[in-house]
Amino acid sequence: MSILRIPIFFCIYTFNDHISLIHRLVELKGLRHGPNGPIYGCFLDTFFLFLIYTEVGAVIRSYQGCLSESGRDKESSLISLTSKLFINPRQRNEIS
Amino acid sequence: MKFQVIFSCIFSLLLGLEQPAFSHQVELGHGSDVQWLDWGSTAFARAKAEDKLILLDLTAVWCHACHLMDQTTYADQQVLTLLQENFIAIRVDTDQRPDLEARYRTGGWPTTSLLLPTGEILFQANSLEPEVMVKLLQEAKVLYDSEKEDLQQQADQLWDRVKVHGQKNESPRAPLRSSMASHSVDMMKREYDSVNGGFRNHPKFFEPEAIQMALGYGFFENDEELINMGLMTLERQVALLDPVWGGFYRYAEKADWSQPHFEKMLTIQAQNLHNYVSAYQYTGNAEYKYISKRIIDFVEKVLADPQTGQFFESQDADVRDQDGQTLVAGAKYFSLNMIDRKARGRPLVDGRIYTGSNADMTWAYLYAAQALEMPILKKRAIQVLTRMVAERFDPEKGLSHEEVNSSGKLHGILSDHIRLGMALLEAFRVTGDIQFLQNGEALAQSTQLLLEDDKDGGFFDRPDSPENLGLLKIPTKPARENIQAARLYLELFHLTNQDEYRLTAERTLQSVVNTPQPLPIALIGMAVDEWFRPPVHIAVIGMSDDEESNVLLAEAHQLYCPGKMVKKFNPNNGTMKWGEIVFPYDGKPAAFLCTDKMCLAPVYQAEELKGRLDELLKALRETVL
Repeated sequence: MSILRIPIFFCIYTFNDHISLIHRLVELKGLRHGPNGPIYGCFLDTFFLFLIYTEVGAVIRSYQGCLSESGRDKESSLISLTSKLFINPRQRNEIS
Repeated sequence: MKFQVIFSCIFSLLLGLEQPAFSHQVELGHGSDVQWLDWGSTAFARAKAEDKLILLDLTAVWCHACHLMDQTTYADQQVLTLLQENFIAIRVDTDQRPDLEARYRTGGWPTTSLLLPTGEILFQANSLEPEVMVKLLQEAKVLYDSEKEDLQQQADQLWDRVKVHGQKNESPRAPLRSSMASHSVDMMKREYDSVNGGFRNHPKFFEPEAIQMALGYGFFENDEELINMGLMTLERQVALLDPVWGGFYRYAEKADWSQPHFEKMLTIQAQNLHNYVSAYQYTGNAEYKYISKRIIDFVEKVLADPQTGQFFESQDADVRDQDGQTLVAGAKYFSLNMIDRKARGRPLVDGRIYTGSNADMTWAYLYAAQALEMPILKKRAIQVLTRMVAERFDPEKGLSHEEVNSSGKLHGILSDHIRLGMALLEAFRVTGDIQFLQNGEALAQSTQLLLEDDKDGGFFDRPDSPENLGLLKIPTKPARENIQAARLYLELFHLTNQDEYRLTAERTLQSVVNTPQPLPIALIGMAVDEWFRPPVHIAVIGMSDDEESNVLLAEAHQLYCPGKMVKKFNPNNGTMKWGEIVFPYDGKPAAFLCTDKMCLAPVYQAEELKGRLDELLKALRETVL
């Protein structure tokens, strides 16, 4: 198993999917998971969450935000804003 | 209503019973042989000079998984050798550095990050077992050695993006809509767990703002379903109350509030105290009062510093020895009775005193003092607040997050400013002492000076500085703290009638709802509702030595009505004016229930106040939202 070089999965989840997936990962992989904070929601149309996780189930990075109907621009600007950089040259294209 | 808890032993400092002895010294790094460095220029200079990646361990003194990692992964010889030879190891206490937590925490604690020597994130995970850590460190070293230039190029792109964002034109301001509050309520109702109380499935965390919103909005809008959501959650989450010492654990793994994580945090006690007192005020149910006192018992016995009266940050879940090895795990320990617990030792208390969480506790104490008729709480809160302002507040540098050897550390953290501001305004409401309002205003002005975003509105989480390292260089405007800031400035407007505070609140709220980030829905709903809903004014008219007017005043303070403002007017002191209302005096003590623009007919008996409040709310329901 390789941690840095395995393919990563890049997913878009709705809010509820996100919560259940995180909890499932916690259960399946015995991961330690801290507070996921209060209930989050959007006044725009859609809550999105990108989870990037390895085959062992560790969530490497997550980006979350809200999208409007024409939300692609907002999505990319959000990722720029989030600015927590995950760098792996071989996987970079899958993220952006 | 039946609470599912049996209190096996009740002892109380307030009742003069024995106070258990706790150790108040917790150091990070017990059980680990890693040579940890602090976050700072020394560590970063070494990373640069030695051209090494940084391993950042974001940990917490109360964190069970962190202790385990110290005893396993960070005690593993192969891990130690790899770290020693190829990495700069930095350890950060999450409570000490909320600014770093905001930028480097992912998932929970510990957050284990590999950073470039300049602080950009290469990889993140939580707990890692020794063999996984060995693999990670080996591969990261190979990756860095072989693709260093490419990695650095991508890091540069990050800073380019930050720069471009900083140069963007002013964002359009989104209008605030009162429907946002009802929209928040709809989302809360969708997430509510009707079987177990609380929100979502599992794990179950406290959602204090959701309960505040459920009770408050339900009260104003006469929404019984919402009120019951709040009350049932308060009832069910009592499963997380320690039956022996009182105080609430941090969270439960299961949806039915079972399988607690046993660490106890100061802020969780403060938020819960406020909510149980609210529920007591609202329902008159003595069980809520009882739970409130169980929280106070714990805080006074375990988290109160006997020397200064201030409050310690947390109590660990496990009983550990001097080397950090777990002697008794929390799950076992907290199932014991008091005598057996004593025989096994005590979980350590983190004796650090942080500004924000101390402000939370004073805010809750001030609120509880009136409702529970415990003036000692008011005295305690004022003692702490006065000390905090005197020792930690410098208008130019801002508040310090903590004091170490009489020297302030980490100035100008937004969260500290807002929480202390809230506590100071609560102190003014409760005592009427203008000094607290003046201190609150000075703090609010300092916050604007240091942290406000002049271009787009809202507040950054910490001051910008050329000395900032790593991701601290990224300007961040956290939604939660900004919503709380808007509430603080709105309250300042209501207390002072100065329009610039209202404008700051509006600009801040607009900047929050204008961003594409998900928002804490209960909190934003509450803030928007406060923005559109005029606070209830209760004006008590009577001579200062008039017993009847003092009874009216006491009852006015007791009434449950979030955001209410209570003032006493003496007819001998000239015109009695509040907002646009001038009050008459017909020779006998009276109380008026008003907004800033309208009043109902006065009441003369304390027991009539509740009914008159209901009348006012009914009238407002038909006109406001």
